[in-house]
Amino acid sequence: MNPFFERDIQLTRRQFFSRSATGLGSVALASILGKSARGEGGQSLGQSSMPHHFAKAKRVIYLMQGGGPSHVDLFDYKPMLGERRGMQLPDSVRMGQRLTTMTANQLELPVLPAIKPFQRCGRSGMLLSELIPHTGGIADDICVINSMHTEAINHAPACTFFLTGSQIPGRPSMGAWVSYGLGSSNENLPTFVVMTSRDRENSCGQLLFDYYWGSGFIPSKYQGVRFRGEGDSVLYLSNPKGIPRNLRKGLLEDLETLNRQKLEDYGDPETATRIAQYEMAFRMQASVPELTDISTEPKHILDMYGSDVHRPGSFARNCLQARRLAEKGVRFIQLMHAGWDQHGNLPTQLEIQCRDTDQPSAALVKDLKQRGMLDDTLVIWGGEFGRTVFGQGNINNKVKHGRDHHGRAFSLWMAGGGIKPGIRYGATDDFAWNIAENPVHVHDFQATIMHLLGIDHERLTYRYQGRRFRLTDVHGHVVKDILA
Amino acid sequence: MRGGLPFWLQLALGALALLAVSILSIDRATSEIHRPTVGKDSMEVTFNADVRAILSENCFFCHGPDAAERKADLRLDSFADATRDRDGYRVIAPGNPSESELIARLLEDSDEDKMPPPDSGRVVTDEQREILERWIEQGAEYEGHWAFIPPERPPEPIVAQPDWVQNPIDSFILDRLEDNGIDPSPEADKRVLLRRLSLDLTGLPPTPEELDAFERDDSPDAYERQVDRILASPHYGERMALPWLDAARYSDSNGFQQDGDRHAWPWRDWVVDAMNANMPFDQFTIEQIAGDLLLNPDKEQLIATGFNRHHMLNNEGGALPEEQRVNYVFDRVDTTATTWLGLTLACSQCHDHKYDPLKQSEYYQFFAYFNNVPELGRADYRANRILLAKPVLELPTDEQTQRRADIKAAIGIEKETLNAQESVIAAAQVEWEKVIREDPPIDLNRELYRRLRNGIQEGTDGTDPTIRKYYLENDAPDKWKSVQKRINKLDKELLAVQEEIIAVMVMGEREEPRATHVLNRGDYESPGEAVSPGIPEILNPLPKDAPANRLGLAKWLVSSDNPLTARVTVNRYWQHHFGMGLVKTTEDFGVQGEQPSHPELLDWLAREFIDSGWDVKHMHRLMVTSATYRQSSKARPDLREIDPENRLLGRSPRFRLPAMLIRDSALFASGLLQTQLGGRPVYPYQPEGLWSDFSFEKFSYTPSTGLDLYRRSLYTFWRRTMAPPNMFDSSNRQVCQVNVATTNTPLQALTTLNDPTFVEAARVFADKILRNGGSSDDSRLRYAFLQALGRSPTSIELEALQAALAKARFHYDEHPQDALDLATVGESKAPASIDPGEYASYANVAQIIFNTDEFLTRE
Repeated sequence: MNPFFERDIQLTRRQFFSRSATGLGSVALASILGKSARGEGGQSLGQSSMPHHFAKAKRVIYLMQGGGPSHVDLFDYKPMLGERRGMQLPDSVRMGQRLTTMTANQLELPVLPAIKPFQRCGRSGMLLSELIPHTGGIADDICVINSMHTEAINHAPACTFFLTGSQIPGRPSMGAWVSYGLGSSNENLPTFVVMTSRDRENSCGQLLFDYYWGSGFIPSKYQGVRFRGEGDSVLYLSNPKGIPRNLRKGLLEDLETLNRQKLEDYGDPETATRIAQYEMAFRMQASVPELTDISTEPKHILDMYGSDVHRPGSFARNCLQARRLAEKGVRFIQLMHAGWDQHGNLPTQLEIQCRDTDQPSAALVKDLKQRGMLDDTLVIWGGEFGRTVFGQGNINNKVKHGRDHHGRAFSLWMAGGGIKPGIRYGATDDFAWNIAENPVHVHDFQATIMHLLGIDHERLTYRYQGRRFRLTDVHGHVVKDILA
Repeated sequence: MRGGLPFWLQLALGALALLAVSILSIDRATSEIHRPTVGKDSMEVTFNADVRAILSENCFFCHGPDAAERKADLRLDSFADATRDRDGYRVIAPGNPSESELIARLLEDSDEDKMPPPDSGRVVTDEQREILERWIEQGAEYEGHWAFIPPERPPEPIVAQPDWVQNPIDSFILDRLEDNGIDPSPEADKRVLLRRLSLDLTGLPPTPEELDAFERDDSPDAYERQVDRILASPHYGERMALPWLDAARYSDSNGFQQDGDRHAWPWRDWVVDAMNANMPFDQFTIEQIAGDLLLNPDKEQLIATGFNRHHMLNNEGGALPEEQRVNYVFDRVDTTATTWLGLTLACSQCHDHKYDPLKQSEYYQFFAYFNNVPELGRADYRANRILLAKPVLELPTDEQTQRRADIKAAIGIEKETLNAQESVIAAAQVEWEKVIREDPPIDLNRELYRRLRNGIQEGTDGTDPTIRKYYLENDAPDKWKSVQKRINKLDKELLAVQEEIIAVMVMGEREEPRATHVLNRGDYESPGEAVSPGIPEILNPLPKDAPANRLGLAKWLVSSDNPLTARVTVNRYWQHHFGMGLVKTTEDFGVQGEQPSHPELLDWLAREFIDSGWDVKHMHRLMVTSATYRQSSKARPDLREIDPENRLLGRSPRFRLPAMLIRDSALFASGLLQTQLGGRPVYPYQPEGLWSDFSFEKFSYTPSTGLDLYRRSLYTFWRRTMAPPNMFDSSNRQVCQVNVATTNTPLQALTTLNDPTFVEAARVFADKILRNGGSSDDSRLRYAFLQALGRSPTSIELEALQAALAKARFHYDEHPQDALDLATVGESKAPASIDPGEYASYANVAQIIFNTDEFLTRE
């Protein structure tokens, strides 16, 4: 190497790394990774008053099941449906409630019981479908809420509602609120990470929208960073062909020299931040691939998640990845899985969906538990709504029928992070159609998640258009009964 | 909203509301010009400058305009109500803070009686309480909200340094600076200034030749002539269109589940053209809001109305059309209110506004203007991937029109042949149906079978069109079958022509007006009282001759006594040139919005805008020729403490360019940029699989090829489910946005370092450097720096570039394959005549230059 510039490199290299460890680097990092500029020292400062109270959950892993998993078939056992098979859903139950245009003109609304039997699981004898045996295996760790309800009736508005508190796009997502409120606990990784997957059959018609993890009107630094299953796990993470890391590093040092000149000349603090962000970008190029490289995971762990874990971009792989991110201190991890929209293929597709998601979901809970992380990690499993108890299409056709969307009552489960384990909360009527006791609205669900993270959902606000906005709009009550 | 109240109480509440409005309108007439709120301290307290924000933030939620939520029957936004006697005490006793319950409650210790209630999360500080005390002591005078009072042209302040003043803007700015003992900054270096001007007005940097010419020109009006030159550039319209597209939530797709494509771009081109032609803003407004209601509107005026059709469209299976239709109308109301009025009208969709004197019924009166479009809430116009909702305007070329007419005529002739034999065919069909019902063919589809089966029950006359078509295509005698075959072929041709025709969504008006009701809680299923079109009472009345439709609304928006439109618009122009509006909350001019930093200047500009005949270029010219604009943007230690946000403008602001312009600048420096205007959207590079990933493989992204890869970012196809990934910090184009945050993140660094667009631009730039930059490294590096940044490097900068070049050379000497690999990023061919190592080395240097803070920044 040319001795002239070797010395030059040494010099700048020393500067480069001395700053990146603490000093300027970390302060500026705070700004992008969700920490407020007001945060000083420490690792996890968000808004200055945070947390509002002791946080039982330090992080959230949200396994969003897009499409609307059928609570009737999986979580909400109704013994009398069997004898009513094919009979009309009583008007006294439906009470004129609106249906989607997919079934609004269907003449018959025949009762369709769960397509597979339920079995008793765990010490409490929780009844869960035999389609989800692994979930049955963690029955003593989860809290199944049978009384969820939402006003939304179609996928995109319903998902948007669950993830942002409003059916209309434009509000910050839950993860963005959490990043904004609590800040980061890892300086080399984003605070809020999103991963997506879908069923292999691609049976769902849904799309993903970047506002599912967007920041709405709060600064975009709080939005989720999507880790992809193919190509660069973070967009534009890799250097271009022909520019290897060591060369890039050398050139970035010269870029820093140029930018320092500018900083001296103009004194703009944004320039200082930019210098730090380029350092951070360079570090992420190493830290992210390290994180997504699962070759160091022992076989017995991989086996827990099932064989799909070897397929990048699969739900199983994402579950494993979620655990690794949680270990590194990522605060909000959102998995978006699509594949539950069984309007016309329930008899075949439901089972496939369960097979793809049941084992990895349960494995994640077990894996967190065996590492002692379940206590402060909140895991959520659920969709944007449930499905109708009546069949859509001809229920006597062996393969081609299904269920329509149903938001008036449905189920999801939560585990860890301060949630009471091994219980069932709320109940529906005999048709799993209306809520019979302890309704939990989407805003209540959100308020509860915030509560577990140490956030008072009414006090974490952001001022925009003259109004203090919050995740739960003007609603939401913490569901105290399910807190451990 | 008042459904459950007894009638007498409704009347009483209504009367109270009326009273409040009349009080406010009296206040409005007596209000004076606002005083500055930054940098000064004064003993005198006024309602608008000091008090309103405190009351609004902490009290109005329960004691404000919203009658439904009002607690303790108390309005703190009304002098009459706040000061009335309440059985021996008064909430506000003018002149007497210690007798005022308001102050007592602020001082109260017990959680039960304390105000604001502890669980509200709101806190009035001691300092704020003292302001309230002082205000009550001085008589507790209320004032109307400044933004609802039409602006008057204030006198130009007398300043101590008149020599500095280039135009009246400067007098207002300097007056405040002098008040605070601040000197303005010196004028920016000529090269910096021209770069700033070019980027602000065209979004493209100046060429080195333009910079040289300006530097050499020492005539007194050298700068003004540059301004005129740049204002006349066709790229001016492209630059100015960008914020308007954000406000209009312009997009090339529908959003939601199907996210079908739409032809929105003819509207985009209309905007660019209107900007370039300097269409007066009143005309610009009227044509977009109500072009369809003008007398004999031309094609362009209809296209303009696309503004109100850029809302998202939900065609998800199961979506309820009426719910969607109502959502579209909401979107139009919110977008119009934000864009023209700076009002958060959406807040009164479900209840009376919590802060501004806007009633829920007024929201629906405004809603009524947009509720009369002949639309069904469905996407009911399809052509291949294009999915639109009527009303739609087709824009066929002459050739397409002709072709379509020819095919239709040919189909007519064929059909005539069949029509002539109708009774014979029908009879034959009835016979055929009888046979086919008994023994349906295997390939008969279910729908057809159902129709046939129903035919048995209902009887048939052989004219069911669906069955007829099947019969003619499959089982009819050849003489008929052949006709049908020809018709089918012609139908296909017609469809092909149809799919090629550009069709845009436009506004239209139903002849029979659709009834509008107040929607309780904003729920389309809970209509309340019926309302007719109208505007909020707090604002200027409708012009006398205004029709009760969108045209009347449009004329009202740009009437000279509208207090908001001109202010809101010039404030956005100010934001464009100065990084932040005079009112920082560009989107909210209501009582919860921020007070203007320079109220008199804002009013002066608003008045100037109206009096100039809404001359947009005139306003931009005024701003960019001001001495305020021409200042250097270097930070000043003396201002850091006094004015950290630079609201007083003792220097020019310095901010990162919008991502679209960073991309354009890199393409421009390399010489790749294609500068033609308008046309269909293009598809530049994006990471493979991104669209299909998002759409679960329903959409795939096929990048453009050739020159379309290098069009200005404005023309990039914008899919709502997945915005172009390299355009960070952009408006989301889902809902109206007039104020987009600028952040600074490592993901942005990764984009400008690694996105193939930037890498390719860097290597093409390397080619340019090697060809035109002379023969020595020094001259080449200087050339590169000059081309990209418009100035020569300092010696330290040159050293850094030399070091970078040396490192790159060293690497490519040892790893020649890397040089060859780098040359394949992007579509452009690497020049065969240049040494690959040199080429790659300079490409690396170019990348570094493209990533300097200076390149990314407008300074």
